[in-house]
Amino acid sequence: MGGDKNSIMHPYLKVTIPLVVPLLILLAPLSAFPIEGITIVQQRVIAIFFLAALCWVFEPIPIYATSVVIIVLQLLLVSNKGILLFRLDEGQAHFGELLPYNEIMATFASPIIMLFLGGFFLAMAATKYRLDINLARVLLKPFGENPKHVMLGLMLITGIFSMFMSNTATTVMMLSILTPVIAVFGPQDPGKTAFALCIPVAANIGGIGTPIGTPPNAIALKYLTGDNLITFGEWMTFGIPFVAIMMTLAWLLINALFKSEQTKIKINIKSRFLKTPKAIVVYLTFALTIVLWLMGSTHGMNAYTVAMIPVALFSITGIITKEDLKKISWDVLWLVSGGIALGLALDKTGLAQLVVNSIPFAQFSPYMVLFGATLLCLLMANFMSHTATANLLMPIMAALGTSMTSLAPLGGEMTLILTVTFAASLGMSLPISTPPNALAHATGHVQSHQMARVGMVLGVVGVLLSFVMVWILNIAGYIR
Amino acid sequence: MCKRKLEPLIERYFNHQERHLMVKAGSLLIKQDGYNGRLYYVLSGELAGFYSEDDNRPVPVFSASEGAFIGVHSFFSGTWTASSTVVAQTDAELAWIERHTSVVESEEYGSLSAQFMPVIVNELSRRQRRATREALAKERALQELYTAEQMTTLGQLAAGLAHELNNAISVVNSKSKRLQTVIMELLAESHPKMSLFFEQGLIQGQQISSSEARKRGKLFEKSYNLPKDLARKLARAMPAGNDKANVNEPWLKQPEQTIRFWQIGRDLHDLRLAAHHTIGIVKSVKQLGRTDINLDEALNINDSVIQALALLQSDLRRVSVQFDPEELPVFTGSQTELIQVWVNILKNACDAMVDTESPEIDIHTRYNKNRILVTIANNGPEIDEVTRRQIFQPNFTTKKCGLSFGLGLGLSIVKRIVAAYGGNVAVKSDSERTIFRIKLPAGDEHGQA
Amino acid sequence: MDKLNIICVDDQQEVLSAVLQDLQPLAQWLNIEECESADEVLELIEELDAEGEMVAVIISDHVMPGKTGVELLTEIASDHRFIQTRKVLLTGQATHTDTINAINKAGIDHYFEKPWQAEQLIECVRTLVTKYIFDRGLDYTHYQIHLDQNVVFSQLR
Repeated sequence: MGGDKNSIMHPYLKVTIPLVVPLLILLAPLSAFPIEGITIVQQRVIAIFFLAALCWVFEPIPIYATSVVIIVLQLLLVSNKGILLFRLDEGQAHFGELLPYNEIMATFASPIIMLFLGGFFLAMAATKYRLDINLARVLLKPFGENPKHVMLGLMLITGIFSMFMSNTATTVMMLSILTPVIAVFGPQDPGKTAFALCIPVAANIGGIGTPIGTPPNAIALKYLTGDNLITFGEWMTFGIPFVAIMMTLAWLLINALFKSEQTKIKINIKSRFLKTPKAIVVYLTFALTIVLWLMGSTHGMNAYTVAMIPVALFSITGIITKEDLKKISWDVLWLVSGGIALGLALDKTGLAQLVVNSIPFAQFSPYMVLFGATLLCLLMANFMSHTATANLLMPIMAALGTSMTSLAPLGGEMTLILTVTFAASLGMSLPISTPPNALAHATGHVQSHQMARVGMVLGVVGVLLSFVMVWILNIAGYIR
Repeated sequence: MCKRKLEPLIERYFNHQERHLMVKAGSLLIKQDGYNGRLYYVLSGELAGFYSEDDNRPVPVFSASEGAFIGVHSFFSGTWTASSTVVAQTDAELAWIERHTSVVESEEYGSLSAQFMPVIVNELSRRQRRATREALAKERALQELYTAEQMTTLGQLAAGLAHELNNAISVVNSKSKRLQTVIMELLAESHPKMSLFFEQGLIQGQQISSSEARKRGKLFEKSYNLPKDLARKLARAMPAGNDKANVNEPWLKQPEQTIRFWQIGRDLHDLRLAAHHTIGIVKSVKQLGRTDINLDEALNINDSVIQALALLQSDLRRVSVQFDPEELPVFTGSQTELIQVWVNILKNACDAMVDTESPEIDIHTRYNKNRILVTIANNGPEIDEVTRRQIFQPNFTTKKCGLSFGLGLGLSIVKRIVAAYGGNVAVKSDSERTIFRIKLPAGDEHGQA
Repeated sequence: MDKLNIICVDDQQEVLSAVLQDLQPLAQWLNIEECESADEVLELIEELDAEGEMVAVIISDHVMPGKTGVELLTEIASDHRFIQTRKVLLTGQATHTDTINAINKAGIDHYFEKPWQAEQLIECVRTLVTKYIFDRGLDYTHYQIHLDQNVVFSQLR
């Protein structure tokens, strides 16, 4: 990621800006901030926030490293077990409240992280015991050999898989299935583009379907607590129809733009369902976990608790060995942790509330705020990591949602968070937008401008559709 | 064209009865290096020119028939000396002019040499062409000589190799035979019960295929409650067909022991089989490399085909070969040469079928109307018309890549050998089959042995 | 402990049984399978795979009726399920071109010329199985005493 945007900037600036700006914020006197009653701790959090934002945008270091930096800086600067020099003024009013160090550290193991870990275990076991490829084989069969139908089939499968596996892993698997198929197309056949493009699009859209589909969803879930609580199953009741509609639109759009000249294509996947005891354990655990997730809290367990079941079962049975453990995408987990830590700091120091209160949002039209926030998110998501976007925006949106009373008729906090979350997943118009896009672009069958055309249309339409969705949910009385 | 241009000239100079001459067949017209003051024009009959150097046998250099000129060189070069000896092959009528013959209409047509310019140029170009042709022929002859030498060297190499191999394999063969007897004796003394299993292995070898062994092994594993490894070994060893427990009882009493002895037997069996096989191949190679070709062996063509097949065993491994021999009369000729014919055709077929899905070769021998007909058909790719026409020419090859190159000699050798026996070889090819048909005369021409 | 499979292919039964006999010392910790044709191998690996067993090494002859050894190994190399399976060509008749294909397309790990030396064959299989175990992320400690220690050390470092 990042090749294109990084080239715009001098590599020197890429490093200095994220360093200098937070440093200036840190060193400025409190009176320099146009916010009434700001404390020193809050000032430090602002500096860390800017550091995070700039690092995630310019990527002078890997995005997961930024998350680690956030957590460590918070421990050093704003925790009650930080460097002594930095908490000499503790107890004074202008200094503010320090955060407990263990809460900051706990973000590494927050329930959201555990939910993702469970998802990783499921995906890893499915891949290891070839549940994914076998399902793909079986599910593709009814779609015949007409390229149009096959593409729909591929998109649906990609979508479904990316609801439970990472979008990147799904894309990798599907593209590897597709490579021999794309090879039979003529050199100028637009069908090549269509097939290479449909996979990342479907993976990005499919991720919206479940809380574990993509990290932004999980981050959103973190802020949807208390009155706004959304369970795994509830998320899916509106997520899946949304995905279905978007998928259909994407299919029609790609088909209209890139008409395949090939009249017949055949996808040949060589595989068989494994019938060993271990494989059966994988199938059953997979099914059980999803059913438990869908049942909501009727059994007393929430989604986070349920996510630990596959972790335990697969470890006990040796389905996931210690070698497999090493392959877990710890970077994704840490990236999310950093976001949660950032949110924690903004929330617990009272900074988010303070900032939101000091800006007269109440005077703004709630529609403008909603549109503005969503479009900002879509724009950011196109240029940087979806997770990082959600990490930065979600805490602010949560604070904004609770404090802006004029939003209440539109659904309040939940409306704002959901539309922004969806927008984060819809940023897919550039090869650098998401890893799936980068993978498809790297096949050489999709040009940047072709991706941009499809991505922009789907992004804008998707955002509008998400408004329609929350409107319906609001009318249905689901959003309180 | 040329003749028509010359017509007025002939009319002018060679139409005088007084300058006409009849020569009898065999009579000498001009002697090489002798005096010749005339330019002859052949009106009818056939003459030939010869050239000899240092009293060697005269070499024919040209032949002249109606419309040709003789003595152009000596007449116009002004040496008046003949460059070759000219002898009449048939009775011939000639017209001539002499150096003193008066020039006709010199004002209009120029001097005698100017009038005869076309004739002179014609003669020059004819001589030039002849020289070129001869140079080419010589080159070709040298090439043939060279390849022949190559083949001989290869043949000798093969013969030497075969000889060495033969010694080695004879030792293996006789010693394994000896070992077999000794082991059998020893077993009869020490493990009389086990000699049955040894013999089973020795005589029959392993009879069931690997997939059958796998299936049977699984069955044994279950029904006799044996460990997987042992069950598989038993499955390989036990005679096929009867999986009922009572039949297998002797095997099951001490399975480890019985398998051990069966394996010794089977190994000896394989050893002897391999030795036998090697001997056969060495024999064929020896025959192929033989330089002293005996042309009046009484032989059976079917046997020569079988030998050829044995020789090509490794190439034919992936090919399914059908051989349908008919009772044939004795053929008199060289076994070596015949094997070479079959080997060359079969080897070509194998090479042609490298990309064929399921390669097949069908060989038939038939005897009909005193002719032996051998057809060798393969399902390789079609040989196109152009290739087919050149296929029997020496130095023509389609195999030019990698190490398995062709010398382009195979089929030309086939043609030469078959032709020498008074037979012929033909090729037919379409997209499905390519067929070589070899007809050899049997009986009469060569005489019964 | 997962049972690992070694598959030997040769169309000549005598050769096959000789290879098998030479590999006997490995039979105590590996399951050795024999096949007489490429198609039989493809069928067998399909079956083994469906049973969740692993194919660690395939030792193939080259010249065989039907598919050749190089064709077989190429096919297996392109099968995502057997990416880690190690491939050995054991042949006396491969031409220059065949050998180039074997390396470039089939990606063979070792090439043995007939006649082979039993000790070398065993050593080679041992090394390749060790590599396979690490590639698959299997627990090597189950097999430790049988493995090629050099490979183990280099992998653990």
